[in-house]
Amino acid sequence: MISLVWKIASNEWRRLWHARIPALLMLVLLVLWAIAALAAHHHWQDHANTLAEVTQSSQQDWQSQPDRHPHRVSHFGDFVPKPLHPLSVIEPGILDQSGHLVYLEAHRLNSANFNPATEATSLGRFPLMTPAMIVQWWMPLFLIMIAYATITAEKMTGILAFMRGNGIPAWAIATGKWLALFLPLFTLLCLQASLTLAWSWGSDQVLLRLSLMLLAQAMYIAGWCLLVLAVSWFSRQLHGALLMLMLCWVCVCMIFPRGLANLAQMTYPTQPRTEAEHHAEIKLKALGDSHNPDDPHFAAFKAGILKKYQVTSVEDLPVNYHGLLMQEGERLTTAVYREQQALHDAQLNRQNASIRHWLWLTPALALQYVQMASSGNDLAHHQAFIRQSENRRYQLIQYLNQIHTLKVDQHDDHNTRVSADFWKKAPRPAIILAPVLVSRDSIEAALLVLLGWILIPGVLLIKVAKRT
Amino acid sequence: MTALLSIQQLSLRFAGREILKQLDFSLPAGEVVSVLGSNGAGKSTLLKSILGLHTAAHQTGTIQIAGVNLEQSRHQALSQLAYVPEQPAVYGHLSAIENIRYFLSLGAISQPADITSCLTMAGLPEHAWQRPCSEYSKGMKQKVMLAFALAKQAKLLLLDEPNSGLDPQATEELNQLIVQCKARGMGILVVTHDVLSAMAFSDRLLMLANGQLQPVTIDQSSLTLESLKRLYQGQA
Repeated sequence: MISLVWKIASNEWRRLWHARIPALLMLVLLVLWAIAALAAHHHWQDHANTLAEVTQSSQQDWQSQPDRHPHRVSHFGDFVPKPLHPLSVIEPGILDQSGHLVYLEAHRLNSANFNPATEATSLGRFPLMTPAMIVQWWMPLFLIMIAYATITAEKMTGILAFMRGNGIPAWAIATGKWLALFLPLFTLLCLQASLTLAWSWGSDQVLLRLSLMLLAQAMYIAGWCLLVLAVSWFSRQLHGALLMLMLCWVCVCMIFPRGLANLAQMTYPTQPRTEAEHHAEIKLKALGDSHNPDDPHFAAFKAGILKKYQVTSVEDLPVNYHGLLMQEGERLTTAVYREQQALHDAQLNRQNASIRHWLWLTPALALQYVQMASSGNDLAHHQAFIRQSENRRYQLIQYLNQIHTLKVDQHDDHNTRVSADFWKKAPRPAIILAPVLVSRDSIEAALLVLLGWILIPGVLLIKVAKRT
Repeated sequence: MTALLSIQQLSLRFAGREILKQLDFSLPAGEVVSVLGSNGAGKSTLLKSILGLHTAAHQTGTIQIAGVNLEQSRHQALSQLAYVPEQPAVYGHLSAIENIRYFLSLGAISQPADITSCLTMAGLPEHAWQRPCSEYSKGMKQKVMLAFALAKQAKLLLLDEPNSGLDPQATEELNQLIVQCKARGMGILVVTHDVLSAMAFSDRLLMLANGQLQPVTIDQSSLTLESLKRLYQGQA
């Protein structure tokens, strides 16, 4: 039986090759893929180079700071690059929208916190052509152009009736034709995966990430092959098959992904950065003013400190009171910014959950979810990066505030300089790429949708094949 | 002698309409039977039933091919017959020999006849054997399909409108070929509108009307368009 299926597949390849146009289309697809791979690699290399340069210069600048006041150091700032997985070459995801570098500074929200990560799911713009986009959009389109007539033409020329009438089972014809369409595209996907594996060998969770990506891509293309065959088998006329498949492509790849993202954004709108900062400012003002002696919060704070050190005036404190105020202020502002960030994250998560709820409408978006998660460029990875960088900012600033408290004479605060050794020892924990399972919800939902994407056209194909 | 094709109480219903009504039919080896009938009478549907292409829900009755029950052993039953549809179904990118070899291989025919001998017998000129079938006329494609039937060593041959679209010369050649197949002991069931050809090669003529097969006799000397119309309307 395997030999029967293989013979049908081989004949189909030979037919497609002789028809010239399918072969030409396949060649164009290969060229497109190669261009996308080169462009994406170049783009990634640019990012990687920028990150390496910024990381190095930022580190040098930090280390070369002279003896100075700790508060100046806290406003010197700290550039943190977002860790990029080499699989970003295939799918940069939200990278271009969310940015790959943040600037961390004392009592300032880090610069990436309110970036519009929602852009990632909106497909609202036509970004750089990437290998992921080739698989997601162009491969199904070329598949339709190559194969819409596969069965319809054989119905019209009587070959299908002849084969069925001479005892060739419908399942063997369907499987053979499916294999003929799927195998070349799967080979291309495997080639892409192999090349990526070779150049990203040793990177974080590369086997798991690449396997997930390849699995989702294979399921997506397998589903398209089944759908093309089912529609081709169902249609009586060539133009009918082509029109129906083009309609499916437009809905699955264009209308539904964009529509779902827009709907999610309308239902759960996020605040622009300026608006979010404005809200944070209002909350901060409500917390109190450390410069106002009558402010109840800071009056209570001062009383608590005096009691703790058993003195009656801040001038008698053995530590720098301004340093203590800085620590308290940082604690309060960070809490407000984190609360604001949590609200923003919750809204983004609601958008994502809303899209996941309707994901079954569009396997193209399901594939994009897995590709973005695998390459570490989805919302969950971005949020994990934001959390890590915010923790780093907080640790660093509080360390500097402690230095301020302990090493700066409060009677000569403005003129005191602290040894540069302290900056060199400052805690600046490395930011690492979150594990792929941080996107577990998205991956599970997407794989489930892709499974349905195989089953539904598969059942359709079986049903229409039985009718002939 | 076991009939090559035996149909008992075959009924077929589509969309509430009964196409075939408790139809009985038998075709022995070495006989050619032509089935006539007006458009939509169910001639091609009858062939599809014999090929087992209708689901059991639509169809009742028993069909046996060379003694093999079609419903119980579809593959074995179909291996005994060759079906040639109205459209000559060959792949344009393959030559005659490649087409026959390909379809034989799909049918897992254990001992096919020599393909070149079959092509010779079918009357396809030797210079055309290796050319792609996209360059063939319809008559040449019909010959390739009949050569396939011969190579398959089928006992039963089902032909659906074999003369449709053929010029008189090609029709004559095809008719001769059918007679040759009959001489080899094949049972042949032809569905056709071409009454003259059917009279030339058939042992029996049947008219499919109202879901049933009725024998008809046609007097060639008094055959006119009017008499044919009456025949198709069941007034003969």
